[in-house]
Amino acid sequence: MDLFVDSRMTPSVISDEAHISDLITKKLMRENKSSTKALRFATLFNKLQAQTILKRKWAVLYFLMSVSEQSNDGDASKLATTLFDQTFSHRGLESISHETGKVTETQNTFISNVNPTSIQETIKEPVYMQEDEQYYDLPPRVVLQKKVAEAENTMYEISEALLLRDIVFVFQGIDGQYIKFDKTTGSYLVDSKIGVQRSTRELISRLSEMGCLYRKVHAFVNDSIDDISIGLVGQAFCSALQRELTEYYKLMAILESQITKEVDTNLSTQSIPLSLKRMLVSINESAEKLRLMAVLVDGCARQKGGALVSYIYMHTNHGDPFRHEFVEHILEEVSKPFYEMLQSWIYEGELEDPFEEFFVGCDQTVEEEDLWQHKYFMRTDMQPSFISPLLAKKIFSIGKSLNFIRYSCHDNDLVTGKGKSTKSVLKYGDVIALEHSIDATYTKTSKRLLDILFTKYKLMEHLAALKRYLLLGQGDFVQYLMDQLGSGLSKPANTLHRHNLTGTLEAAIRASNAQYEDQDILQRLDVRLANISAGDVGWDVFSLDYHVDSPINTIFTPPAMILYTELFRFLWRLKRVEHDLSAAWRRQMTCARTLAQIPEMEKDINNSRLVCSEMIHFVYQLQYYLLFEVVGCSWDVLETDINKKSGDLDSLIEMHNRYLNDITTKGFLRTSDQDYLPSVLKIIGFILQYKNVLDELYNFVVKELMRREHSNIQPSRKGKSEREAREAFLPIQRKLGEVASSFKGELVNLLAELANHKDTDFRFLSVRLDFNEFYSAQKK
Amino acid sequence: MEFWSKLCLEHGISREGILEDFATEGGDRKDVFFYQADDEHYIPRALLLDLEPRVINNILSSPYANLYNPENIYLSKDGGGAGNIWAYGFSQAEKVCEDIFEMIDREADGSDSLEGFMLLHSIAGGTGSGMGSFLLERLNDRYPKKLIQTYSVFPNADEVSDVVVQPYNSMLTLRRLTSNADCVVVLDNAALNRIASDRLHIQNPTFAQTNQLVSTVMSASTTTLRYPGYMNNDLVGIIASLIPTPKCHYLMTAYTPFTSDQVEKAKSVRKTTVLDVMRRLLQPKNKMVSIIPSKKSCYISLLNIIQGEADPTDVHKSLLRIRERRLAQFIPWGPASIQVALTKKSPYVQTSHRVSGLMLANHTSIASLLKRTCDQYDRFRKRGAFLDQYKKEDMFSDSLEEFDLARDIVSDLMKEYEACESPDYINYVGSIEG
Repeated sequence: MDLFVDSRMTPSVISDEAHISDLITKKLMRENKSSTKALRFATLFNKLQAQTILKRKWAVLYFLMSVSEQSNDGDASKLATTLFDQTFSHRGLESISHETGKVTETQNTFISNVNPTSIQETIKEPVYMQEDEQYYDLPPRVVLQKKVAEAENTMYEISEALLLRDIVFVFQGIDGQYIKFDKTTGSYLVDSKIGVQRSTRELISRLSEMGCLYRKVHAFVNDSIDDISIGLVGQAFCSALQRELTEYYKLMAILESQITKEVDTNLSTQSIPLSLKRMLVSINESAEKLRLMAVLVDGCARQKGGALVSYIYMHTNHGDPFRHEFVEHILEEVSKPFYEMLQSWIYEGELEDPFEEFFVGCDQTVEEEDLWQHKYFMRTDMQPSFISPLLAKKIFSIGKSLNFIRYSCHDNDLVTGKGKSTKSVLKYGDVIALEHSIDATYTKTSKRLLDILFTKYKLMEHLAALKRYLLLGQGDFVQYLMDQLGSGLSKPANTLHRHNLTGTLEAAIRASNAQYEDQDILQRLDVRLANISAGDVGWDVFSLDYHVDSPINTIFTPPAMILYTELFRFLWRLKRVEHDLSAAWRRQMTCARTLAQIPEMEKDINNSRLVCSEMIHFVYQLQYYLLFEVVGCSWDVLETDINKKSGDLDSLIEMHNRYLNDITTKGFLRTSDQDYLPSVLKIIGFILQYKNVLDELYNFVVKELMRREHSNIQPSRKGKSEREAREAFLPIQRKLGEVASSFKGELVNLLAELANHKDTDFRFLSVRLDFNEFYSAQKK
Repeated sequence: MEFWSKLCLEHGISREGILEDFATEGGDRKDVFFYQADDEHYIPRALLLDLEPRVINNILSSPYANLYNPENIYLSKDGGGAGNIWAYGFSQAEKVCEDIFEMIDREADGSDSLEGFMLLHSIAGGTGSGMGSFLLERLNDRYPKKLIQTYSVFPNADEVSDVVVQPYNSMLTLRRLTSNADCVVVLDNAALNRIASDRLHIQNPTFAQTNQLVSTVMSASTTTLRYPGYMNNDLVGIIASLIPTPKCHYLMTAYTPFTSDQVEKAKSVRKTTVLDVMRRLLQPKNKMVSIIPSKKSCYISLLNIIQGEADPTDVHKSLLRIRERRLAQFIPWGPASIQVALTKKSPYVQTSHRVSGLMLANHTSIASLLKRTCDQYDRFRKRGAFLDQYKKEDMFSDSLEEFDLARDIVSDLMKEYEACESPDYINYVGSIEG
């Protein structure tokens, strides 16, 4: 440090601070004739010595003394310049700049975000852009240094203490005397008129970043704190920031008091004085925090609730434990309102969410009837990212279940009574504990809900009743109904009267084992007539109906009930065919003896019996398939699934839907790409036609028998009437043949298609229908 | 009358006809075979008819004596019985016709939806065959639209019976069974004895024991009526698919497994699966008819009534297995398959097996049983043996045409069964009017 002391005065000067101070004291004593000034100098000198940052103390003193001596002679300011140049020669400057560079490098190692480009740019500029002839004879390095000094106005130096005072203001977002906020660059800059060393400038710019950050955070908090629209989570965020700022203010107060202390008193001889560099170190942690806060503030703009929580959570995933911890800390605060909402949702089913911040929303306009399906919905954008979709679904389901239990099932036990004991307070932190807690509540709530549905609301009984009545499981009841209604349903639909039908329904219940059924279930059973369109007969519009109300209509939804009705129609149709065929069979059995009296018709009649038995075989096998393979198997699956008693109402609804879906797919022989129902209906149609022709046949036979008896009495008319009879028989014979072959053709086609279908159940139906390979043999 | 005691057990009805306290589970239809006299009493829809008092007196001194309506028991006033002669039975029934039909009409009126009649009789003795034949004819006339199903016990053709004229009795009854009944479930004593000794290890079974076998078949074949399910809830529902043409209405049965529940000391079969049951039902040793199937013999139709906890998918698999292995031969002239009806088991009767099954089948080999009856008849008839007793009755006093007509009808029936084994059956035309 003593290198540069080789000025022209060198011989007479000893570079010793004590010596210089002695000289100055003497001088002061000599000039002023009193010790006041000398004393004041002594104090100042002590302070100067205490300063660690200033190293060339002797030089400063020497310079000051020389100036004071020269000023006595004349123009002080002019002389000062030359003196300055003399005292700090070129070589001296070089060494200073050299030193500064070193300091910067060392600092580089602990401050990560240094921006060296700014320095380089200022260096480049004078080298390449400016061609100044006056520097031609100088080496480029010196020229560069000169230029930099000119551009940055590093030529003057104001005391670091002033800058320190300023910078503390800046830290609090207030413009200092020298350091001011520059709107164009959005950062704090030292007034360009004031000469400050480049290194100091650098330091100040780095320090003043805090000011910018602070301004940002503070502005955000100020703007938002009274803004209701940011919601509860937003409020929590603000208060968390506020809290951090308070910490920051404390630091500021400490810094400030330290500075004031140093300025006001000279007691700091022992302690190391505050400097800009020290400041940088001491505020490092706060700066980091402020930086993070600023980042959070930047990103959270216009986000609220769960989204905000998610956003902040995202920032906890940082390898730096300091950052991680800090953000985690903030998140804990911020997520408080969220957890409060979560708690009231999963324990009470209440949505305390005035700003729609929770990931469950409620549509108040939805009727209680649709509570489960439509009243609540998920706001996926409000779902914090640390809650997995599965967990979110469970949470959603818990609250929904609670509401369903309370409002649809009218059961308050779970919400009011039981909750307290097991409630655990939820807060941000252990996600696994949260999951456990949610799982436990989920299991408990779902189980409770299912229990209520299965016991209080007899869900299983309803399922069984639907199977028994709408899916025709109660054979004797269906039989009676068919016996009573059968003929009436063949009439035009508009001749049906509802009250007659309900009367028959009542009778069917009384006449069958349905009479032992639970009254509640029987009361739900009703007749339904679809809208009549022109040409409809009773068969087209009649169906049984089963009334479902809240809460079971959550499972038996209107679409589900439509499926039930469709299934009923189909099964009922099949039953009708079976019924008609049974009647035909009975007639051919009981008429067998009398028929044999017309031997020439024996062959036709025998043939019709075989066709009839083929049809019976078809209808029976199809029904066996439907009732055992389709309904029976699906029911078994449903029952096993339900008996597991796991899952929630949604999974129950899902099970039931799958059950219905299975039945309709396999029952209607309808897959996504193929639909065999029309073919089956065609076959059924042929059977019904055939039955009508059979009726004609037997009516004809009865007439024919009477005619023969008659003609035996009146032999004269025998010839004519026989001819007439033959003519009357021909169309019947023709029709029998036609319908029978249409039936067979369609059936053989259907079987061929089914046999090659990818669905095993469909293939099995074809096996059933063609067990002895009669049809497949015929096709060949 | 084992049938009724069995029904009582299954429906939870006491020997006095009173519903037991435990019989609350329901699901059964007691009113198919019983009617309610008052709130408590269930009375069988049954008529007990005999021309001699011994059997009925046994019933009246049995624990079930109070079950039956005394007005429904008919004993001939002479009490002489039919003397094992069909003709006596027939003519005596004719004489008491009005009394009997008064009872039948009363019962029929008491039924809300009468579907048909069931007749349980033997065709070898005098009363069962003669009186039975008479009833069949008259029921046909009086209730032309009602179905008649019979459970007919055929004599043991292998043994010399104490009833020497049983071939005559059988032949005359077969005519009525063919012409006047809609469905005949054939049970034969030879097969019943065989099952008792082979399957149940009882040598020389008593009447009570064989009757228990019969009652098992009867109760099993009526389960679908008594426990209404999806299908086969009425008589037509059961037999319409079994009997495609009016004449071929003789059904054979098989049952498995027999356990101590049915007959004392029976060897129990426990781990029965649906496939086991369905396979065993096709085995001749479980059939309750002694038949000699030929190579061409085939099933016209087949219905398995499976009782107990049967899983539909097991049925499904079993059907495929049976088809794969071709365990059953079917007719070539139309579709035929193994139909399966799943029914509940009575909750009041404890059984040691999970599932049991009854087969009702229309099989062409039933003709071999008819053939045996015909052969025996022919031997007797050729010699004109034991005809005196018959000639004492008006029906046979002038001629024995009645015998020949019966023989013709039975041959015709055999011919039709034979025709059923060929694809040409669709063009078959029977020859004789019944």
